[in-house]
Amino acid sequence: MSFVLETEDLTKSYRAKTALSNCTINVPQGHVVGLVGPNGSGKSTLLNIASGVLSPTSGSVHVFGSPPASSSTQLGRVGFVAQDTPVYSGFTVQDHLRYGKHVNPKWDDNLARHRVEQLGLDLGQRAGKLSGGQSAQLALTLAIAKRPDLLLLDEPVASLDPLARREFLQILMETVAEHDVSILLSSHLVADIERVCDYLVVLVSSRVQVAGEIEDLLATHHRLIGPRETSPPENQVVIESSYTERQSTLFVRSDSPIIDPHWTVEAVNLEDLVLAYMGHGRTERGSTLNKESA
Amino acid sequence: MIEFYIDTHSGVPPYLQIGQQVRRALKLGLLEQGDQLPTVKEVVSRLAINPNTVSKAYRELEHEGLVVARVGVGTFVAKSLGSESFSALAPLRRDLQRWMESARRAGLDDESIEALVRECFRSTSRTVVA
Amino acid sequence: MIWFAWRQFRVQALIALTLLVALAIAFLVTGPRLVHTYNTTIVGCTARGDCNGSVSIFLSAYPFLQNLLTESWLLAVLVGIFWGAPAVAREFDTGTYRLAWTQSASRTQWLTAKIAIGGVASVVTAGLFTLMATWWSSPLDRVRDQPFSLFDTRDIVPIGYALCAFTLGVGVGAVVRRTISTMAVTIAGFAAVRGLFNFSIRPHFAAAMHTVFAFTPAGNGFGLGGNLNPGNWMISTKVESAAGKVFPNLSRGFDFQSNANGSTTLVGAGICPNKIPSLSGGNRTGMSNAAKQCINSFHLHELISYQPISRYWSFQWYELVSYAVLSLILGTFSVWWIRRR
Repeated sequence: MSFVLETEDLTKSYRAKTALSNCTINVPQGHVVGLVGPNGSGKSTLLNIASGVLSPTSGSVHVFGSPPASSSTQLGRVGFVAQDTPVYSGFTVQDHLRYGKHVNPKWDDNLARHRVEQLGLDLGQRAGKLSGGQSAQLALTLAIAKRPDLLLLDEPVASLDPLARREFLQILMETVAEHDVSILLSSHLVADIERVCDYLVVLVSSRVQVAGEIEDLLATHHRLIGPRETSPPENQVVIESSYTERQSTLFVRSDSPIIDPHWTVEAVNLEDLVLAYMGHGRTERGSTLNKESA
Repeated sequence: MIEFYIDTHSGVPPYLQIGQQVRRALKLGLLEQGDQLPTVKEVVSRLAINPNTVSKAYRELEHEGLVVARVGVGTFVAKSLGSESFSALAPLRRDLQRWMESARRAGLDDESIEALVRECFRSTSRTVVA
Repeated sequence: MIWFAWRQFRVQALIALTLLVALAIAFLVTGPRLVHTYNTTIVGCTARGDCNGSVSIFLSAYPFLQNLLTESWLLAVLVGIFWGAPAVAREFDTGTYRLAWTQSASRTQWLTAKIAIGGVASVVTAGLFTLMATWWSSPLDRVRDQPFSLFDTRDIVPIGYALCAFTLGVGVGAVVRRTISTMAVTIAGFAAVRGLFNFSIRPHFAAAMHTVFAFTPAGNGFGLGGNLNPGNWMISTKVESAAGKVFPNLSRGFDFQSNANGSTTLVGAGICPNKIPSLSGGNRTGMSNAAKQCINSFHLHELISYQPISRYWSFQWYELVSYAVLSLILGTFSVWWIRRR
């Protein structure tokens, strides 16, 4: 299995705070990977480092086996759509395409122009006058037209209205269908992740809580409901648990089928999974902090 | 040509929904032998879903013998679903009715029956995958 | 990247071109008039030897343009804050660096292209400006004949100032990353550099020459460099007595003090060897002569260190090269700094 992104103990700290601390992650090639996590967990920092925009403080990071932005070829293999999709407000749409063409050897001008036409963007329009959705689409077009092998997207649809969001994802999926490109995108919206991603990484406090193909994850996680006193079945990893007087509800991971008759087994959906691991990550961090202060 | 839709709240995985919609269209005669299904690219550019989802659905349908993929051309309906499916339906319906009667005799109310059916349905959907 | 850097710079270049053209028109309209006046009035009166009035009238021609040229240090400041400061800082402000740094060109290429375009533009703009300014002012300068007094605004050094201000703006922008703050720091920094050069470095481009003038009572400006050819650039002056005592300050003339024992002290030099009759005696002439005698007895002389007018052009080159080297350092620093982020 080859990886598009591998990091080990990756840390980025500033004077006042630490944005990413000892993050170890391996993202496999050939997937649309959803990166989920609470605010401040380091998703944006991770993507900025992977794209070469930010330098790490310590630890290692490799994209396609080399450090990010280490060569012109490497830069050409990775496309990045940063948060708030920055574009040059004084440039026209046409200028942006010319810019992409001049600077990227693998630039596919036909693809770029086709997309712009498809989107109904006016080539002569100044980018500063585009709507949020339109500049997001422009930024995506620029990233796609350089024909990268990996596309990194930092919450690209967070500030878009539902229609713009849908249109953005349509173009993104069409790109995946047409070209052989891996995608790593961070998002708050589990509904979007569910639609477009086939691989999930949950990042809480710079730590990977869970990573895997979504199908596998949904198959191996269950909700167990049973009477309060019953002990959990064997060979299960309890991710989250909640109790009432009479009832226990457990969120577990298991590889083998659960045949304990005391427990009612229910399937879980992606949102349940994400929430469970985000909660788990917070508790873990809380207990770590408690240990440190004790 | 058939147009797919995805119901995100149905609890049914998207790739199964696509399969269901193809089968339904076949039964209703909306799709006939030789008709082309939308390409993966066409489907995802409308629905904004992962292309693998569509590929998987089409693969399943091909496995069932309902469609055939021609490389470089597209995916085409292999056979119309005619009376075959109806003949398969009758014994299944009979079994189901019998089971329902047993469940009611055992004292289950409508909601419990529905919950039981849903649970089995979901867990069997998963095992088809595995 | 060159296309990109030029495309970003286009509007700024256009503004500069417009201003230069406006200035050129102003110069072209008024310049020939100056030349004409010089060739007729000034040359004429010089031959006759009665130039005083004509010269002062001539030198006050076109005051607006002359003042503009005196304030031409502004040109470099404007270049620094409108071309240099936004070059990097604005990309950080707007976040577009995240787009620029993820194309197939490295950060080094990105910044080098910007510095090249802006640097060339600064040199060309300042060069054209100083060419026009020097040409237009040449009749006036010939009459003034004090090139060092307008050193900053003529010939080739303004090119160095503009280039340095530009690269300073770029360097500060790389560190500070906010356009407005960068502009403020660039102005302050550039003022500091200019001040340092004007007062501490330029006087020492070459070892100063020295000359001594004996006290000349009739001569004006003794102790203030008045005996020096005005074209030379006076660096420092001091007045000493034969015994080596340094006179404090001659700007308000000589100071005599009566002592208790009837003698008189020339403040700063010592006790007068002769007796100075008091003013109350009514003998003004006598007192005046005695005062002069006392002053002469100390054999005062003025030591002036200066840079001769002949060194004007070599100093222009020294300063230009110094600023150019400084610009190179600033540019290199900028590239090194952004690679670190």
